Amino acid sequence: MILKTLRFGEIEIAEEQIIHFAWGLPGFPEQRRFVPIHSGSGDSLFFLQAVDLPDLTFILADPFHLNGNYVADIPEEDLEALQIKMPEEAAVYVILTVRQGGQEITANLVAPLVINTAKKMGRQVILFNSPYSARFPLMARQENAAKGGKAHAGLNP
Amino acid sequence: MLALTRKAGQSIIIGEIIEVTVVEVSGEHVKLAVKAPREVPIHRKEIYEQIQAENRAAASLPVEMNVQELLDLDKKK
Repeated sequence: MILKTLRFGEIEIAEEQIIHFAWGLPGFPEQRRFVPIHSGSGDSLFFLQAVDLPDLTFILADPFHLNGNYVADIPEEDLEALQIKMPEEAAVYVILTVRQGGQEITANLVAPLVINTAKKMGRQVILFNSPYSARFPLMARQENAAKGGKAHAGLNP
Repeated sequence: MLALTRKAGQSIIIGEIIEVTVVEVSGEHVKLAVKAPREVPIHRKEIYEQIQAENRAAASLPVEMNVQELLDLDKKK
């Protein structure tokens, strides 16, 4: 099918690429269908495009890549709803927020997206009582620039 | 909005599939038990609102912004 997007224009996607979020995402309850779009050179960052809202695009990252100590303790009821029985059936990503025109990037480690990769079912899970921040800082370019160094972006804070 | 008065041990039923029971009332605190189908997400509102706000902020990524650089970050690692 042809998917209309604001960011990528018209792109061709296959039905089986679509991930179904039965309850949408907090803030976007009507958006139930999303498709991952890999346009970068690495695998740990990619876009998640809403199928039914051309201008809704998220950037997702692999939280284990961002923070080596990250533990996603997914509540049992969420795993049941996603029909995930074994850890290897699940993929876990976090949403990145770009602020101030790219000067600041944060990752929402509190509410990861959990996806049943075989069944293409997803849900944004909220980790209750987790030690993580919804605005985990990934980079602070101004800080680096202030040190006199070249503005450099790094994934490790 | 419907307001109902319930005592500890009493419940309300919402649409036959969701049951909310007052388990305990202690001073300012009310302990609720929610029985709902497993697919129905249940959240504490203040946390849910924080995630809503964060998602909306994440969604407002300007289209004109060159995110290729961002996507290439992990290559630099």
